[in-house]
Amino acid sequence: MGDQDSSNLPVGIDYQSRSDAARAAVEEKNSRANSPVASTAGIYIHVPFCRAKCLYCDFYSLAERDDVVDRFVNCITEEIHGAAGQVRDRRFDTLYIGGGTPSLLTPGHLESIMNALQKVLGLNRIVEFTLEANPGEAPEEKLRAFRDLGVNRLSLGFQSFDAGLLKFLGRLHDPRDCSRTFEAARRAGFDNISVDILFNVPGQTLQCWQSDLAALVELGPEHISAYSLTVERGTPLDDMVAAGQVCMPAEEVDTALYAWTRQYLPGWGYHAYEISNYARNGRACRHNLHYWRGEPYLGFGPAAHGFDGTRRWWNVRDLDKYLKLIEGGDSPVAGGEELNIIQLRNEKLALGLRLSRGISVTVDLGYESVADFISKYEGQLESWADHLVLVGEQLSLTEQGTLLADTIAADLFLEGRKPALHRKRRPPAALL
Amino acid sequence: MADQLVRNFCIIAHIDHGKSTLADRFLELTHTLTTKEMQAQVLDDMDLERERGITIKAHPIRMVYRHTDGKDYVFNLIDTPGHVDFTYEVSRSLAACEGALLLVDAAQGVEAQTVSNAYLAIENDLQLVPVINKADLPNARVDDVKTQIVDLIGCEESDILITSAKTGQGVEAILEAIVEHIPPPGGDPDGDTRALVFDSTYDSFRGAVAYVRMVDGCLKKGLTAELFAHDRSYEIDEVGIFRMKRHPAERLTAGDVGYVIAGIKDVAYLEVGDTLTTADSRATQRLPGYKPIKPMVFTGLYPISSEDYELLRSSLDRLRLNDASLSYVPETSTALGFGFRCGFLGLLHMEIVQERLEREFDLNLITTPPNVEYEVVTDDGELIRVDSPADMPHAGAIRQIREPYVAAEIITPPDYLGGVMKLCQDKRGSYKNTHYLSPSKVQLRYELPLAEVIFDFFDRLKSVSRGYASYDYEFIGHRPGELKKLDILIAGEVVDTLSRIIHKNHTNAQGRALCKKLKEVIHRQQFEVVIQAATGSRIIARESVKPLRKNVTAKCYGGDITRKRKLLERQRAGKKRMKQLGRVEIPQEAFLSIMEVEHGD
Repeated sequence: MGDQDSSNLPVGIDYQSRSDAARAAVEEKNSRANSPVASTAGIYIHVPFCRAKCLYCDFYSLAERDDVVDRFVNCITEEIHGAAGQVRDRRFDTLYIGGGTPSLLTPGHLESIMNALQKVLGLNRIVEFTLEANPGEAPEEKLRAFRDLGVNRLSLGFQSFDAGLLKFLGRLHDPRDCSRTFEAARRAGFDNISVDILFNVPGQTLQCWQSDLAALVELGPEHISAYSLTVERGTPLDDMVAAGQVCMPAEEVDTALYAWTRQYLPGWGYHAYEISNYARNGRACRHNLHYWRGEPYLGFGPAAHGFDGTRRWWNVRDLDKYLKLIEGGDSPVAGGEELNIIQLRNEKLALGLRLSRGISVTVDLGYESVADFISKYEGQLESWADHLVLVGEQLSLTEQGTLLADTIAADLFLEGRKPALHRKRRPPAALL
Repeated sequence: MADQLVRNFCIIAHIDHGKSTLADRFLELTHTLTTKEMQAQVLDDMDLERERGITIKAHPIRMVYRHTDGKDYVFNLIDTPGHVDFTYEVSRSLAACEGALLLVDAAQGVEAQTVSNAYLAIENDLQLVPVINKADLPNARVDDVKTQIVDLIGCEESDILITSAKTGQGVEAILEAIVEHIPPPGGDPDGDTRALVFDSTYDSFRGAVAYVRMVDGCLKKGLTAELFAHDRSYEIDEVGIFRMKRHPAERLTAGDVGYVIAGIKDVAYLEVGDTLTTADSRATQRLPGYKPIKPMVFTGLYPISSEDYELLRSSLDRLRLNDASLSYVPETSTALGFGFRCGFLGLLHMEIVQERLEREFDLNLITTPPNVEYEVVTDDGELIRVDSPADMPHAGAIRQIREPYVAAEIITPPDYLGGVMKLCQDKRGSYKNTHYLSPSKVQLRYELPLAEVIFDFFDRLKSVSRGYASYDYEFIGHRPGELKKLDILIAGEVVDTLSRIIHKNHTNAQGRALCKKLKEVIHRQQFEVVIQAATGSRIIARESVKPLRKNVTAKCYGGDITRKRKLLERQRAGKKRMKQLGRVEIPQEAFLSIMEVEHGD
């Protein structure tokens, strides 16, 4: 397990304080960091257990299935072993255990999983090892045990400091659990903690959100994920909104809270490096950066996705089916897609524009030169003049642009069979 | 005298009353084609026709039937188009026959189309043979339907044949009745040549092919053909009769039904109802009943992508090869760019053309709301014809606007009489009379502005009568109306293709309804989009589409990337079907939504 080496991370750098020349140098270095040669990969493990299902959550998770946790851990190790031989030399530098509530696993469970990973994929190059945990559900001793196993980053699902909102959201913890668990994590030795927090919650005012953020900054995590609550299809929240029992805040409220976040957190040293993510210098989530940069990742567990640079595949979204398939010696993969060159490029756009550094129109989008890109996108660049900026070869969204990231990405999408790509397609990553 | 062993007839029936199935039985019983060759509903050979269960192009066929008297009779079955749009075409097909089978569904009873076509047949002096079909259905009401038929054509109940084309029951009896009741054709084989053109088709190798009914004289290869409507002459290459395909013959003489190929380049020169004669036996008198083709419904057709303009033009050219009733002229819209103003016989005709353009030529089109042709008397007394609302002169320069009227025939079960009458009233109809065909069928007559009929009349008629009412109409001329032009402005600009001519009492309600509807279909953009309705310079309604403030996925990690990309790809594809109007993107639905707006809204 490598130490936290943040010096070469391309994010969390205070661009504003540098001269243009320095900035250009950083950009250049960043694009090298993003070049195929340097591309590293992540490992994701999905733990679908929760003590209770939250109102808004559309991740695959189940409550009251503690009976199969042991079986599940066995199956995960089986699935990892199944990947042996298919995986060629690949630099895995991040490991992320998400869910669900992975902190419900025992350290023993985690150890079994890690043993399998160590054997099959090797863990010595991992620099970031994240585990998600819920306030009130992770006692200090357990956290210490996780830390001793090599977990070096905790992601805590606070969601809110408001007791009423927490109750509405279906969370089991109260606001005091947040700070208690946070302090426990610090005592257990975690110096890299991320906190999830929600805005755009029905009943939430700007004042209420401001005090949440202030309380959070006061605690001082290294990383903050501040999400706008989204009504996902098929969630209980969706039904309640459709039935008129709950009214989502007006769009003006949502955008005001977002705007406040974008301006407040950087003031306290948290760089807005992605639409919903903020980090102190060097503390951007390297694992999630793999997703946003279109880099490869392996996924294990029900509903987990994998990507090798051109192909994406996913496991069955059903715990019982997953267990049954693995126990029967079968593959849990439910489907997959081979991305063509246009789809890959469109994903680069949709994901890369979420990052404050944006994407390189040459390296990422494959245009011969910046001028070439400009000539192809004259119309869009003009109509989105307030929303898009092109600095050197980096294309990124302005603050105003981030609010319309999806619309803009869709507008820049390519269609049809003949893409305007001049670069040779980069060879498929040798992952699976 | 023409041949006594010939019978020329057609089948009059409402959609789905079993015309095609009966025709199939005839083909089987006369051994015109083997069972192996039998394709279901052989006479409808266009895909669209089969899908919609309707006949668009008339398709004649010749059969030989051995009667109980031991003689072989030649039957020419002339299939007729089965829709209100094609009344004139139907009347010319009828004029080519001496008799008609009046086919009525035993469960549905007499419908409007049956009635109007029966009247057309009677006007053309056709002998009617009434037939009740689908007698095997559990819900057949044979006695009630008999009453309706007796009332309609004044026959005896005992004259009515009962059949099931599906099972074949009673079909033989129909063939016998054709011989016994339908007279052989008259006409003089030695007289001056007159052939009635009742349809045409286009053969890519041989040009336009005339479908004719010989009335007098004869036609054969080598003669010089002439037509009354156009001053041209053609040398006849081939004449023949219709089996499943064209079958060359030595000659066509009085009473025959057949085809003529004479190197005619364009079906437009073969007008339905025109008379074909020859140079050496030139008739002085044209056959009665000819009317030049007159489009009744107009719409603008615009390619979504301006690069498709030439493709649209060549596609229309191609369709017109086989459809002389389709007319189009180039048109420019400030909103939609270059397109064509197209004239159609009616709404169905319009839909079929539009569907074929999209399906067969892979075009993405915007169709502007259909409208009728107005006669406008300007202040200086000049009469102009306006077939596009955008071309309507300024209100100050108009002395009078006249709009086309139709006489409509509506048949409904009495339960829905109230609803149907209310609908006709809403549609500015003037009531003529009511007539009970039987206790279960009422016939209503109204005179209505055509503009109201082409505008959701059919859908509303079906809904007020739970699908039981049927209607048919006939153009009766232009009449003055208190009409105004309603303009729609988007972001301050008049969208010329959304302009409509409507009755002055409807402008306010319609303007509000349209703005509301457009607000629903125009999606939010980077800036506020204001939608207004205006008559002249007066704004009568206003709505606004708020700017899109936020569209960004909050959480985006590994598992959701495929889903997210697909979502954005769909957004992107949707954008491709939008029309850019200044800065505003307008979806195609906006141009269609105008159709869905009712006066009452």
